[in-house]
Amino acid sequence: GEVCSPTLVSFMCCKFQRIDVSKQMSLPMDIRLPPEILKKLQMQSPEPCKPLSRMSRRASLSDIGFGKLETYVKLGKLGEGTYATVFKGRSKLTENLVALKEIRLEHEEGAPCTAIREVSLLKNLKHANIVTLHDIIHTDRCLTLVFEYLDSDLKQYLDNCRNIMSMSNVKVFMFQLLRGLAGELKLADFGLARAKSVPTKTYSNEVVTLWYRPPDVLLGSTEYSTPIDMWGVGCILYEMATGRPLFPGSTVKEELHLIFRLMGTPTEETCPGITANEEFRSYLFPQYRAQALINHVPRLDTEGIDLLTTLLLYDTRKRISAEASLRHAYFLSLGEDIHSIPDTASVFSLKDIQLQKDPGHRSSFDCFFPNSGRGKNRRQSVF
Amino acid sequence: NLNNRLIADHHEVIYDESCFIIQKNNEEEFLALNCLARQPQITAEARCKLVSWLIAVYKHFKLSFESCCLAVNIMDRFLVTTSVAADCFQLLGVTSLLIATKHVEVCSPRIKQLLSLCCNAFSKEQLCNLECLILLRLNFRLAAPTLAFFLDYLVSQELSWHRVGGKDDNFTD
Repeated sequence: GEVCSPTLVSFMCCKFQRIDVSKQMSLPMDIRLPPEILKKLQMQSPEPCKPLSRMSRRASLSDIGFGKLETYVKLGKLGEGTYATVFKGRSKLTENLVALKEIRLEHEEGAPCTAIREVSLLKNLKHANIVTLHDIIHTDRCLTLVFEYLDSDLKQYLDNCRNIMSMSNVKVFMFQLLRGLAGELKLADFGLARAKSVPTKTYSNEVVTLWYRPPDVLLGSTEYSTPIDMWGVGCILYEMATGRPLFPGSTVKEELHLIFRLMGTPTEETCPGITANEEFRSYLFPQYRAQALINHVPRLDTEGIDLLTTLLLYDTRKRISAEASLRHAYFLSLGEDIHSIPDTASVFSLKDIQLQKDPGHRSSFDCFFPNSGRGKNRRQSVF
Repeated sequence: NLNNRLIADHHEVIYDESCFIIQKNNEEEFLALNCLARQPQITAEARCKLVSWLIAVYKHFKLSFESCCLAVNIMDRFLVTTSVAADCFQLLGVTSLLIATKHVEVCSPRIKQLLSLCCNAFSKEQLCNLECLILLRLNFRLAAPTLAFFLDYLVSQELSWHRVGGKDDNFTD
């Protein structure tokens, strides 16, 4: 079967745009119903105070057009992945743009586990920084997930600004990512009580990117806990600030090698228990010394470097948590109010929080960098 | 160093605690009470037999207890929504197990292996069709809090309570 680590799931669910509030698998507020359907709906519920039964609710939703492919117009392909193709579309119900993710169900082993997890996890999550699932359509050979349409994800965003983001935008995005991971986003929300295990080896042919995996997982730890995500957050901070992935390894050994070369080969002091780790010993890595991160991320300020350093600690017990990092000095400049907005509200509901124009933005730099943009490797990025 | 460790331990407790609260709150939504009430052909005895068989199957594949519990929950919740013929009941059992493992495990058993455990009484197509039907009837709500989760949590609470010599007043039943 396919492998999809909880770490990746949580990152992929995170979105970074300005978005509005209705965060449920529910009827959009701006829905316009044809009068005959409205009438029908009213007739179907003789006792208006009594909630509709599951069956009749489903029937009424389908009368409106939910669960039907005809309700959505395909506008063009946005991308193609291992098990799904994503189209831009428009809902005839709301005239809103949507993203249609078509998942092919005809697989050797039935419905792909990645699809099953994606849907079941998204159904449990309600958060301004998590993409909203509006509808699920099942046709003969396909399952189509209807998501709210996002102008771009972070990868496209980075490509669009030629990988040169304004540092103030880096901070806002970083805060949103951490917000998504803190508070609401517990493993239990994912139904991942089981998630005490993280796939470390390649069990399938599917490419699972190693770039955001912490050394403890690469070295065989299967204990799932939030510090795993926090390492990845550090990698993303670096990537936003520099425009390059931090540790773009293609094998476990290469990934570890890249990490150790920059952060220093772990010792009993920096990573308790490491000298007893059989896998670590078998690799026989040279003794690298940790390099100063400031030389590699010159655009990041002192507080940013400090946050990055605490995100990239080997010792999972010392690695900073999502909750603690929201309170890190790096975010002080965003003001105090940002800590009191409700989960379902966007950070942009505060008038002080605004995105700046990115220095590398396509429109202003087109003539200077006609051929820059993504290298072949960028495809693996979580963005 | 010791201080850091204590802080980390404390964080873990808060974390486990909030997972428990979330799961406890979700529990009600995923209960399948009286799942046999409207089943013309499935008896409590048959369900009991199938669950015993599923326990043997999950052990055979060395799956987690979580998968096994989730499989039974998926099966029961499906039974609430749909009448199942007695001769399809075993297919429902393995298909529920397959869905549970896809949700929980790193690696699921192959469909072929599952079918052969049913003495090839069913075809792959039948299984795949039922898989889709279950997913749709359950509306993809698969992240059920399970017996395995609650047991795990309560046992770890009990253990940590013993470790600190019974001074932990966070422990609630």
